[in-house]
Amino acid sequence: MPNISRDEVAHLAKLARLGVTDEELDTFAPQLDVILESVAKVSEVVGTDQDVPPTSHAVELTNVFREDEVRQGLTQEQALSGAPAAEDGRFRVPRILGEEQ
Amino acid sequence: MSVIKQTAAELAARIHAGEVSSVDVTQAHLDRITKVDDQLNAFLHVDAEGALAAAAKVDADVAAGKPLASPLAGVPLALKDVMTTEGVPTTCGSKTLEGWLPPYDATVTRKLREAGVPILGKTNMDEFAMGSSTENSAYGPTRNPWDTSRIPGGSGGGSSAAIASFEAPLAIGTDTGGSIRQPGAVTGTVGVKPTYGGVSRYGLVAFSSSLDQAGPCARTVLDAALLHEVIAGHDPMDSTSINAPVPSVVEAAKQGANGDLTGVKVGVVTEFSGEGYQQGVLDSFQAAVEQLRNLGAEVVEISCPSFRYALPAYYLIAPSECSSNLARFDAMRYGLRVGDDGDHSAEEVMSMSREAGFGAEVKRRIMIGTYALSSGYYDAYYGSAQQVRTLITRDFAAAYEQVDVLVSPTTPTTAFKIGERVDDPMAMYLADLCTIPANLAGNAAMSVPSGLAADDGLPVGLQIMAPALADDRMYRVAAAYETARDAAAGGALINQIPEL
Amino acid sequence: MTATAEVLDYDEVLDHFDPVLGLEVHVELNTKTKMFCGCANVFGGEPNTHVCPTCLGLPGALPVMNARGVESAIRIGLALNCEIAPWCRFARKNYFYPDMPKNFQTSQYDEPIAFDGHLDVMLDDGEVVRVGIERAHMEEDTGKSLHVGGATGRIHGAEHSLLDYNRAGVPLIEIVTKPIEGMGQRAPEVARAYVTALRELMLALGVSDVRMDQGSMRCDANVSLMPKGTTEFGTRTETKNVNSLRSVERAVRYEMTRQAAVLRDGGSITQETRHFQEADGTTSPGRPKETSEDYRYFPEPDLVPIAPSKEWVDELRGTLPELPWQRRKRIQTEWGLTDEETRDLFNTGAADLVAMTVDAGAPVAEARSWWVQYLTQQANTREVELAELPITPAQVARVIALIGEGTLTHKLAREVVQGVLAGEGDPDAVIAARGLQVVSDDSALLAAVDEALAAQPDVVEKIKGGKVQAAGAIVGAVMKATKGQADAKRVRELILERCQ
Repeated sequence: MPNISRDEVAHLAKLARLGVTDEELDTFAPQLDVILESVAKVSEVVGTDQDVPPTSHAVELTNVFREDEVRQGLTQEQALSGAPAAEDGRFRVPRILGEEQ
Repeated sequence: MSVIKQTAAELAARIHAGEVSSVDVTQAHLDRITKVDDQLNAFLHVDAEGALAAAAKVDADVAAGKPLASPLAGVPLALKDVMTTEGVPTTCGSKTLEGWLPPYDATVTRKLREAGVPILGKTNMDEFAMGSSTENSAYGPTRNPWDTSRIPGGSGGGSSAAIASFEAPLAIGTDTGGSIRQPGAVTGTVGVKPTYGGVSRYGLVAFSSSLDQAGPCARTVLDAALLHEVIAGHDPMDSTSINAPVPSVVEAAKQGANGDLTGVKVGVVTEFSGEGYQQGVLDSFQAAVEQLRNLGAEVVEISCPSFRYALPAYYLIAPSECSSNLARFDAMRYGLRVGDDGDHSAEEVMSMSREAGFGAEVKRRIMIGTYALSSGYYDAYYGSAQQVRTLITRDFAAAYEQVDVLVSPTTPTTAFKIGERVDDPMAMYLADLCTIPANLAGNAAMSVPSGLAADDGLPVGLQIMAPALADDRMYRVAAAYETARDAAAGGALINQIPEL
Repeated sequence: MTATAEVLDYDEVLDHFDPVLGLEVHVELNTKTKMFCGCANVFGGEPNTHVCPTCLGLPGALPVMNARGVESAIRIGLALNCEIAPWCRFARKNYFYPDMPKNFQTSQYDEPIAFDGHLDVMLDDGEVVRVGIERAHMEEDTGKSLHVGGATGRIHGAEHSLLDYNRAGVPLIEIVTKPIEGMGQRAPEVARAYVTALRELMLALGVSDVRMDQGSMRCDANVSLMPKGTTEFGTRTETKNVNSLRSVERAVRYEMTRQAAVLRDGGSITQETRHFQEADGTTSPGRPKETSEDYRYFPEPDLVPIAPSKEWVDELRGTLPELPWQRRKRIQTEWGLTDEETRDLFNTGAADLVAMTVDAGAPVAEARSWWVQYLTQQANTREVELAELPITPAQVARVIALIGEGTLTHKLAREVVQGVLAGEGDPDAVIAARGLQVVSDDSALLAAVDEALAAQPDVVEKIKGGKVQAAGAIVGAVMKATKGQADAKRVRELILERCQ
């Protein structure tokens, strides 16, 4: 199935917010193609057997909850300690172009 | 014998008896790091001050006759740089986290501190644990102490190299597809991936959440067991943590050391041999199986047909989860930010920072994961991979109805040369062929040294796998095997490592 | 693009099109803590002071579900007559946005906890409309951005933004209706009535503050038009930012007229997000998206599935309070009200107040009459909610009792109530201070009666001649003389006695 073009790699990079250079597109496109070609064989093994439910979790646990009790978190100083930029107790970021979803 | 050559169990006994101080033991290891780490690059950060302070506290407790925090109190350890440490750099081998000082401790870190284990420093790794050679670290590769032109395995190459080179008696690794066991195998050390959910993932910087599991790296099975019991146990901060008693792995290791495996049924996985397997590895494995038989174990062949699909399933599930887990590294709240010059938007700064902060392998996996999860491809890729996971779990379940443990080589080959596979991702991925199934099923698995390959003289590992929550079973078999092998070989494999 | 889009006359819209609505309402739960961590769930506060590694999305941190949040979701589902999923999961909705710490939202996707229900909604004229509920699912809120620089403080033209994550991770329930069709001209009213009913329901359940002004209840309105006589839905727009009940109605109405104008001119509707402008009641388009959305949902591996047992669901069903429409039905039956009376009772917001007045001993009819008529008028005059009038049900009950025992006439009673509303104290205090008691002392009344009779001898003659109804004129004079404080019935009796 796969046959990854440079354009598709560019699209994936955009979805993943990854800047990629032209040279990287040239390297990644054939590499991703080989990898995806190889992993695509997962679909053949289950293709015939509809009776296989997917496994998303290795352990079969359900209903793991926490009581609704307040727990000490971080101070504002700790919260901002790793921030590339901060202002007035908030994280400072460049202007945002997109809309909230 | 020099302090650094002693096992953790021996060191613990001597420290607790007051024969040697934890400060001296810790200092000896710090000195060793100073002396040899230039050749290995196993450590990304050394915290001499923190380690010595923790050691001094244990010494004070010993002097005051106070009860000790744990059986490993005072025995120093190296921590994989993927575990958060409050106020101590945590980079995950990535440029994006260079200089980041976490404001909190991982649960494993906290347990180690509470157990009085001095943390020597943080060990090198493939960036965000993605790799099988530690060549994907932004801070340069780690070298294998058996042959410094070779890889120490990955992603936890730093942890395994550190214990193999006597920089630390113990280390913590994390294993998503083999990142503890494969480095253990190629460095001639013990590496354990506990049952998924057995050790808390809180503070373990996630690569693939449904597969990641922290575990012990050590030079002996007993040492690994001692460390296992310190870090394991239920953690309410991790929803996937199992709320059940920790298997008695120390007791199992001690029992196994008696050397009797009568009544134990061992299954040899037939899928893990043939093309792509180095002859020296297969020979070592055959000898190991023979050894198990000599110890009284009943050995049978077991076929697990779905295991052939484990590698492709893994290389869909892990990248998918990582594409989402690593989305948080966006230069907004922490980490490397580039391009914030007033001209670029937040979106552009995110892209530029991620481009600058991530290495090629991380980018490749993020893009594969993004692809596998996209609409239109989800069912064929991610969905099918999750179904393969079910089939593999069924294969394991069927196998464990017949046998107590499964065995295989840990890796198809011994340590390869640095640089040999960097441009060929698929060749690199093959290093995890035998280790991945246990991760997909959430079972327990470990690697124990089985000698040197006759064809290249490099260490080979025997993988022992056990059902979920039956970690003690594999420790018993591993300890019995280790005792018998060392007796037959005239000493521990690690004694044959060349001087650095 | 013009600033003010052309719109079609509302009646003309309905001549040609049938509107179809879909309402998505987000309700912030009032749990003590956030959905996946123990940080306090409070509105406002110093920025970034209710945060922890989990809700800041720090590397390594993990989520754990808030039991109360899940319980509230199930109770909301039950109150909306939904099926409760016997097994469901959280998923990750992947997209990058700076106010979202992990760059994925932990949400539910194809496995909502509650689905397929309905809510009965009463319109202004008493007609009840059943709105189908597609699903109610759990998710988490984002942080808040403050846009700095630029003229408007809005996102466009800002120089940079400041982020506060106190709200990040606050539990949200998203309630999605099935398409609401066939409402014709009443569609906007139905939208408002639905959100109003939902709001009342949340208050009755005690699960949310549902403050639209503070964003603890938010409504997105999907609107499309289909040409009359067709059955295929038109392209819809999603209007966000609708922050009051009145705005819901205005936004829907505006979108109907705007879309109709586009369609009439042969144009087509762009599927897009639009923003409601409170000031002029219009909607404006959002910024077009660079790439089409692909949220790459997959099951959240850091959380385990939720499997509410039948026992748990039944137990929660038992905790449901009487729901608004059940209460309405019960009150109508118990008090023997007509549909119209019931509607007035609830539309004026008097139901609770009347019930409390009845509890304080007043007959239903009087209590209802006071609140629904006289006091509602007073509230309207003062432009406040009925419940905000400075008079208590107990005070109203006291006034009613005083009328019953003849101490007050209705006219006097209104004066007493005015006194209470003016802050002069309890009814008894007002009566004492204003001297409003009914004159029931016959000797005092007789003096006034005799005076009036003397002043109108012709009337006395008429009465004596058998024209009893002529006594009315004398009663009026006496009442005037006693400033209304006489009991008119007694006055009449005394007049007739005197004229025998």
